[in-house]
Amino acid sequence: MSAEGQIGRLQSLLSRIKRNAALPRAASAPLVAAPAPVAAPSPVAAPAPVAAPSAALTPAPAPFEEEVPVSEDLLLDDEIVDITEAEVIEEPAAAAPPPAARDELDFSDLDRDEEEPPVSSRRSKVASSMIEALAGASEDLEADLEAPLKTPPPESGRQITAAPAAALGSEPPLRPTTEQLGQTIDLDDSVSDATLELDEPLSEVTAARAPEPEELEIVLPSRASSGAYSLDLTPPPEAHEDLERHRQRAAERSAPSAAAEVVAAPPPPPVASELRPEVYARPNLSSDARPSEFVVAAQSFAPATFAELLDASLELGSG
Amino acid sequence: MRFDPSQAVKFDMGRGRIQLDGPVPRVLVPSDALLPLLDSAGPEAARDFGRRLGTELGRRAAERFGEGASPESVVEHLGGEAALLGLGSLAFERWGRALILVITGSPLGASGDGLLAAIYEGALQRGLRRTVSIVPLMREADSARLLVASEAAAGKVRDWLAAGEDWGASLAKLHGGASS
Repeated sequence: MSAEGQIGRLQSLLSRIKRNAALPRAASAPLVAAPAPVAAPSPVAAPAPVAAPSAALTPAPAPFEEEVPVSEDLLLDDEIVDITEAEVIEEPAAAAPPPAARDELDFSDLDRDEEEPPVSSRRSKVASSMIEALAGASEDLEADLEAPLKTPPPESGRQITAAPAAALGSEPPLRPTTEQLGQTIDLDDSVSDATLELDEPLSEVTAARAPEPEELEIVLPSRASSGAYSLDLTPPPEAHEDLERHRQRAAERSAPSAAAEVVAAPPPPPVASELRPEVYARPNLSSDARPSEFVVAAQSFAPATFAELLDASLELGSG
Repeated sequence: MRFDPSQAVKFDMGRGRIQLDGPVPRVLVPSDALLPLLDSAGPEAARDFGRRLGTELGRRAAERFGEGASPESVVEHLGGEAALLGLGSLAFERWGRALILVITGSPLGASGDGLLAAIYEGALQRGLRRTVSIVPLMREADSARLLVASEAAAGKVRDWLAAGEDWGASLAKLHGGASS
């Protein structure tokens, strides 16, 4: 087939795809459900739990199965390029029944099973032109596919991936959506006579209200009013006489103190008296003190009686 | 109590007796006759003669002073009694702890120093009940110095003096021996 012939066929295929896409979805629904009974009546239903994990591990093929019946009915056999033979070789190993159950298998449906697509997803058909690729992309968007929870095998073909923000769950919009703006919700009237009271925000309440003092507590002046007053304030008229007396008394008090400072010497600061040094001086020696002693027998011996003198003399030379 | 020599010697002119505080009569003998006699009698006889005189002298002096008498009191009474016998004037000197008797004006002279030493040995033994030995140290004109010491110390001093030692050095050596 020449290239021009292929282009022509592809264009006719694209036009049919567009026509099929314009058809209502409800009409194709029974076609999607049709393949299900194919496997149901077969006695191979027993090993279903064995095959189930493969379907669970590859959730992506399910959407593709929806397209398969449509393509089988609408497309020609030579127009379908199925390259899932390698996957078919692997899938029977996982879906193979145990040896004991193999003898009970009914091979009557064998021919029909061979015609059905494998459980696993097939590789997507490689678009031969830009027009075909765009058409495939539009079909994926219209199919409302869900992003797989796990990474599909590379042979699964093109997958729908969700945006990161959508996968993580972005925060709901603070503002109402355009759909919500036009809706008006009518609330039913309350049965009782109770009125709805809205509480104020906590921060506004604490800032506005000051703690009320207790009954016996003295309220101290606040910081703003302590020692500060406006210079523009004028004393009350009844305080003029007291103010004059106070000024006169202050003037009399300052005048004598100034005179006293001239006459009397300022008292020493208390700190200076505390810092007076304490002197430990050597006491003066008395005039009777004898710094040296001359040891002489005559001076140290002074008999009071003649008998003592006689005895001392008799002791000489006795040693 | 001071020494009072009044009425100490009685001359009985009728009976031709001299009495001195007791019934025993006294004899006045010239000193130049006595000394040759003593020299001829020998040192031991002369020493006994002198001790006898000293015992009587010490007894009479001790009747006037007791055990606690001062040196001044002893020298007054003992010297007074010696003066009545005509043996010179007595004084005490203390050289260190050594008691030195200084006798001045003895009529016996240098040859009578031994007799004086014996008299005072007797006097001190009788009056103070001490056994003493008196060694003549030196003689100057009419005065003599006599050392009062024990018998052992007196023997050392005699040896030192006999060896030519000065009496001052002998006294110093005696004090050194005592101190050591």
